[in-house]
Amino acid sequence: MSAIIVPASLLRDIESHCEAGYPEEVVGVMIGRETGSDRVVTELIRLENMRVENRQRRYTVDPLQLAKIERDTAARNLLVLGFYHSHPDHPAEPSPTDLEWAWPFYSYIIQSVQQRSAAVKRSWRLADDEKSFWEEEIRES
Amino acid sequence: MIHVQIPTPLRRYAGGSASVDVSGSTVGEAIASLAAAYPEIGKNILGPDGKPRNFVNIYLGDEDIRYLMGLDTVTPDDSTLLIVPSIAGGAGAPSGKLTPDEMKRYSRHIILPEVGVEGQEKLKHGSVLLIGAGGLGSPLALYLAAAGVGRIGISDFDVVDYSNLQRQVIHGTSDVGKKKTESAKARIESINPFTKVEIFEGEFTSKNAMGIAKNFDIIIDGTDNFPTRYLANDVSVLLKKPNVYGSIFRFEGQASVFDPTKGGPCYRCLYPEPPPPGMVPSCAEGGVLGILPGIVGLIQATEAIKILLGQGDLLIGRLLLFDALGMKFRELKLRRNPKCPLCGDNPTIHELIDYQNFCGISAQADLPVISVEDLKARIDRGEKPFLVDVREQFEYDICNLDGKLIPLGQIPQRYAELDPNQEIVVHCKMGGRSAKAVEFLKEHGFKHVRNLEGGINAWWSRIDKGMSSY
Repeated sequence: MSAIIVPASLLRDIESHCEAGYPEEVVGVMIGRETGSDRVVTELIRLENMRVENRQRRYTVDPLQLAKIERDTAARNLLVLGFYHSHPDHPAEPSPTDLEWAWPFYSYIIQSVQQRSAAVKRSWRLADDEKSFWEEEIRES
Repeated sequence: MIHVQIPTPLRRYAGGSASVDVSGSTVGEAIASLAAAYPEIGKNILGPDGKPRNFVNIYLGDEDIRYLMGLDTVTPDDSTLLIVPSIAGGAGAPSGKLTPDEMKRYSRHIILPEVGVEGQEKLKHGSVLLIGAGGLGSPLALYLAAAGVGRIGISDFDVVDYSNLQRQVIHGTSDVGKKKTESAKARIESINPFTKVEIFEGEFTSKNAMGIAKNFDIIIDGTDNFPTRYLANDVSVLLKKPNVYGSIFRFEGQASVFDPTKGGPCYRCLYPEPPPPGMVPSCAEGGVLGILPGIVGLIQATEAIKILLGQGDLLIGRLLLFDALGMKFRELKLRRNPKCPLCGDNPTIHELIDYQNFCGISAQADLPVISVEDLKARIDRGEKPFLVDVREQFEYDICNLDGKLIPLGQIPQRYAELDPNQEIVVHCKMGGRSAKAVEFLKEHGFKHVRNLEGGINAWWSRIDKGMSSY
């Protein structure tokens, strides 16, 4: 099974970002490289949640910000591997909304935040039929 | 030559390249030439109609082509097209566009330019918490559900009583005895099956309030008592959510929107301290015109809908007063109090407190009381304590326990008519006014004075169902 390998310090960054944003959802991008069937995250960038309403339940990324990140990342021979986002007081499982908006290839780490405290996090990839997710192991390094 | 930046998920269809060059004098031509060279990329970014998919953004330089000329936007030589996936998601139900059934149901909203499809979708994704499913909660729930609010939470601990039906129009005669939350849920679901109802059975307290309220966009105060009203206010200020306030008494009502995040005051700015217990009678004690909560509740519903839509001028910083007998609306300007302990510049309240205590109700609990069962037993044994009824004459005429009638307001002038050494039991309808009277009498040297718990209402429901009640 393939895994997404994330340094402990970056996992803590994800947790503190998600806790700081509570009760709203937050989102960030994960950058790194692929090695065989695994992928290694080397940096994170916190993104702005563009939503003006229902921010407790939704996030939307600014496409132009993402376009610039894609461009800079490609120029450094790195990849945008995916995104993390928080589910305040919801489980770390993809919702129908997450499925509706999911893209192939990207890893989607969902960080559950229960009562302000980071709880479970899990990583998900869109299946080839684009109708479901499969779970990818998060390996701390 | 046009450079097209390919996002990571689609690079595998372009041999791993982050950028490919195509030709074309417009965005449409460039995308067509990209799709011809890389059919899989074409499928991902263009729908069957040949237009870019909703989940794909195309930028020419820094501009979204939707805000330029779309596919007809001219592409100068050497310009760069950015293909960017829409990244979105979130917990909970799908963002969901309106279904054809919903379009039909809400068509009279949708043709309003201020609402439209977008506004109706905001209502669908919106959520409100109704604290109380009584007089105010009834019209609120009915109209908010009919209007298409996606999720309505209802907190109530009471069961439907015959005396509620005169104004609590969400409940029917056949609902008497049922839990108000469940009765309201059934009615909402028959009005609008698209509205999700979450019920919170039991009292809304400092322990559960934050957990319940945090999952809703708007808090609506439909309470009938001061502890819960201050609790609703404090919860909304601490969670930074708007609190749509309404209250009713006899023929008069008031409404406002408290939202310190928008510069307005909170309930504590208006009323820093609760009145002493028993001073302001409840609807059960003071009476209320049945129609009044309909009017005030619908003012609250209107404000809630406007908040969700982001339209119109809200009652922030304004207290709307309604007088049904005079048929007049008046408006008072309200200002945020910079010294407010909750929303002021240097707040001292950072978490929920004990609201019973804050409203003096625990202190009142220390007053000596007697239950209706004990009183009945003593009467049966022939040792009847002296009974004082502090209700009004017209209430006395409906039903009484043969006590001496001195309405609460006359106690300070007439207490000399009572013997301070005699054992006295004071009662009213529910126990609120009589508690006030007991407190007064104790302060004036009465040694053996007690409050009848639950008032004549408790007597009626537990001792003598045969007597008239109101």
